[in-house]
Amino acid sequence: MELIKNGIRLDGRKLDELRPLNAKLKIVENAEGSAMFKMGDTIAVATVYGPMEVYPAFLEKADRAILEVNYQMLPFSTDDRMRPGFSRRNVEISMLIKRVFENAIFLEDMPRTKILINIEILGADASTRCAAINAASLALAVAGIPMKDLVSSCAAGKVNAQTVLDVAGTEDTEGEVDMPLAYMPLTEEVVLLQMDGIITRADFKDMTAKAIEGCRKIYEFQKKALLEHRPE
Amino acid sequence: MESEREGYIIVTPGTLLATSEKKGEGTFILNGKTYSKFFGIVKKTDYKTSVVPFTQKYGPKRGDMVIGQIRDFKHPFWIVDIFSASPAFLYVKDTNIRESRMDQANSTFKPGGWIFAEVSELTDRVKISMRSREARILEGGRFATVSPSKIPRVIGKKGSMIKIIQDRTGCRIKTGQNGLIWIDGGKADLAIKVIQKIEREAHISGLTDRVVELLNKEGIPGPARDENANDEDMDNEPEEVNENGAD
Repeated sequence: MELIKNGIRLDGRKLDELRPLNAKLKIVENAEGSAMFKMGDTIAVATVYGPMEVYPAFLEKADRAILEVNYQMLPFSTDDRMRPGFSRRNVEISMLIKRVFENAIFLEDMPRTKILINIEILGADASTRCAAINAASLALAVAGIPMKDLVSSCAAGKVNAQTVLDVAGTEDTEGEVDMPLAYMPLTEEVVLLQMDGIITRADFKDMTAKAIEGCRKIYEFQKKALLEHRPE
Repeated sequence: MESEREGYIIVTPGTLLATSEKKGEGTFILNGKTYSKFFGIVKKTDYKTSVVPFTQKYGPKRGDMVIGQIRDFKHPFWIVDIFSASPAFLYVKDTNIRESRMDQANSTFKPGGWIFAEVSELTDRVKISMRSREARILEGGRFATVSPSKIPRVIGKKGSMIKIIQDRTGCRIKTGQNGLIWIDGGKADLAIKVIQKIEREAHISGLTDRVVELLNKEGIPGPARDENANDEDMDNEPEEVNENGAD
């Protein structure tokens, strides 16, 4: 299947172009912080609660806070109905998002507490974990959680033997490689890197560079969303 | 990136604040440079650079007056929810109930009841005390919540703001440092409206003027505690107008 023609992709984007971004802050009143992040048709809503008491108490750490992340895809997020509740995929992605934010949050500032991050995927059209990380990062900033930097995330991939930024739609199912990456521009740390598929070393380097460039663009967008937010 | 609006600077986490190591709260140092930890407003003085987050859960400090809700009694203490990361403990010895009269205890401090108390000790657990002069049991009334970082603006310099609201609306108001405000009697609706306005515009200067303006617009020109007191207060009215003009 021909997915790229004269350097233009199926949805009309160039090879290193992101999908249209959108963000909304403070959308859930009862949460300490909340945010919606939209990349094309992928929509993630993150809510942050806490710092709060740890139950059960044996999970409590005397020197730092613990994180709890619940990632879930809502039944209507995919084309076929997604069965709600426990799934191995949800547990895996919750775990890796938790590890991403353990690198960014000053957990030692809030000993003996828990921070709860709930992420719901309202629309899934590839790189849901990237949208989830971007939304959670904004929600944490709104909640006043001390952080080293905002975490930005986007995916790069290989489609029709060409490296592309922000894989979406048919590219995700038909393409060869999908590689989500999360990045903190301040310390230039890569905090998440996953990949499936087979590629050469040169392609890997190219894709990493492209994804980091994409993350920087998203980072600027996140900052803009925070700074331009006005309470109603 | 930072954005400057009406003389205050908003920053996001990871924003460069200074190229040297500066003291202050809400900042961290990386490779000899100072960065922001929070999404909030920068406060700069000659020797300190701090960032105050827009919203944050309350972190107890010794000597703070807080409003809390009693959850449970487990001898010898009550567990009190003070809307911070962990609950507070009110020991029987920190109340005016004697150990020999414990039968009184549960009728005085009922689960679900509200108290205004002082944070007396911060060790492994937060202890609060009713032995403070201001401390009391709150009965009736209504509650408003604001972000704990905005409570200083609700109180104003030496309590000036809260005094204006109290005088104009005739309410009894207690402000807890944890972001809860108790309002009783008088024109409570108006008081809540004013407090919401303060929360929205806490970071913009000239707040007192705008609050007085709102109160004037609502048809409460001068101090009006009740109808009988109006006549006595008439003399003070022109003075207050001047005062507002000078602000």
